[in-house]
Amino acid sequence: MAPKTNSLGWATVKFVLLVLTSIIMIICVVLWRVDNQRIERLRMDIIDSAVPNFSFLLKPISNLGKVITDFKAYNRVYQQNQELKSELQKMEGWREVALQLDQDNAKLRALNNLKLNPNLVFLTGEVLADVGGPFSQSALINVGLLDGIKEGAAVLDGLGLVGRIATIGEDTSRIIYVTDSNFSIPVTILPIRAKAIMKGNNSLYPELTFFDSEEDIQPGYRIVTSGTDGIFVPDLLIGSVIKSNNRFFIKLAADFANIEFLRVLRTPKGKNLKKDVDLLKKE
Amino acid sequence: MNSFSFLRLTQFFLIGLTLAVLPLAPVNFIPRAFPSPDLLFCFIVAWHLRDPQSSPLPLILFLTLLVDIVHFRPIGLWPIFMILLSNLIIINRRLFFSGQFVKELLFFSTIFFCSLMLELCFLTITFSPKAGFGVVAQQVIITSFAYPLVVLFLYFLLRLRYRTSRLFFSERL
Repeated sequence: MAPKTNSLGWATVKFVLLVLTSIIMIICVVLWRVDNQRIERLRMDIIDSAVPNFSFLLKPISNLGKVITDFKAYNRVYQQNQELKSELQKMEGWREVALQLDQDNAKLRALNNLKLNPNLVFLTGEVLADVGGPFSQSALINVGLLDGIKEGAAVLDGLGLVGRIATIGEDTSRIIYVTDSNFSIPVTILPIRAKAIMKGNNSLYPELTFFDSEEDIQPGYRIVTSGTDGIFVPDLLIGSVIKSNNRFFIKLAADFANIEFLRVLRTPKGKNLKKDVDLLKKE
Repeated sequence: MNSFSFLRLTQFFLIGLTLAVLPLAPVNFIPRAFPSPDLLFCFIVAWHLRDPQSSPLPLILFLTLLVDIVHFRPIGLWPIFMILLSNLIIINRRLFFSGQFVKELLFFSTIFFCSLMLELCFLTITFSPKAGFGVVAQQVIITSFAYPLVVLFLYFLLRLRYRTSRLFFSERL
């Protein structure tokens, strides 16, 4: 009789533990929703301490992925070489134009006594992990609060906008990419200086919406940040306009196939997105 | 616990941990046309159906909680699903002892679809960012295709079979 009683007792203990665990998990979910900021900070603290410890596993996989990508590229090495030679020729011409424009710019600035914003500096960080899932596009980068960056800071790959800092920890931060379906920002279409909204759609071609007149917009026009959101500085390059099925999309300037190191802009004072409340106050 | 059971437990934990951490590797950031399969879910269900004793619920909860944290999902939601699913699996696993894999695949697809729908409902009710129904349906189909591969991996490489000798207390009722 004794073993049966023991088994029953153990089953009761297990049942109680199960109920307790369920209650704790339900509390976690409720807290995540109700007190999101504190839970997200806790999450970032855990990630700060846990994810770098997995680098011994992540690095080889990441390197293997790069080897496979490089191996695929070998198949078209000759074609790539020809393309590069032709691009280099074009670039030589552009270099001369850029140098002349730079000199003209410097002269005009001197004439107008223009002072550039000294606060606009950037930090370069390495992408640690891909924390996006099937429904989101995001990554973890190895710069955080201790490096002086703030939530909402723009992230670039050296040429174009890649995303913004969504959650921040002490040593790491989460970037939400411009390709994420929950990413949208006001943009300016150059050279017509028309305003529009760029909305991510889980593809490499975010959609351009809420513009005044579509007759004015031509494929190839450049898209830059407008800065009217008060989060991003204006004139950060995003990409160029392309048209498909009477809808306008953006061909991103950033190279998403080779993201390894990213630049995080340190935004000027008072321009950080500290809390959602800040946005409401601005409204 | 004998040494074989301990080995199985260690295998379960290490493979589970690898599958939880593997998607974090920064290989390619180009958005994919189709979502990738949830291999960890396939692995946990396939193993738990075959040998629940070497895949204890606390370990499953730890792995799913880890994935919730590192993948920025609502913390604690998937562990709740796993508690419910673990009981559902233990109650129903005798149905699959006869070896009809189609039945098992159908069972897997159903529970995965229900879990994703519950998550979608929760995210909708709480006004949280979420994917559309189409993406959820795609993930169910892709993960269901991946499930037989995970089962083959467990069957041939790890030699994991249905453990019918020792049944749980709830299974004996």
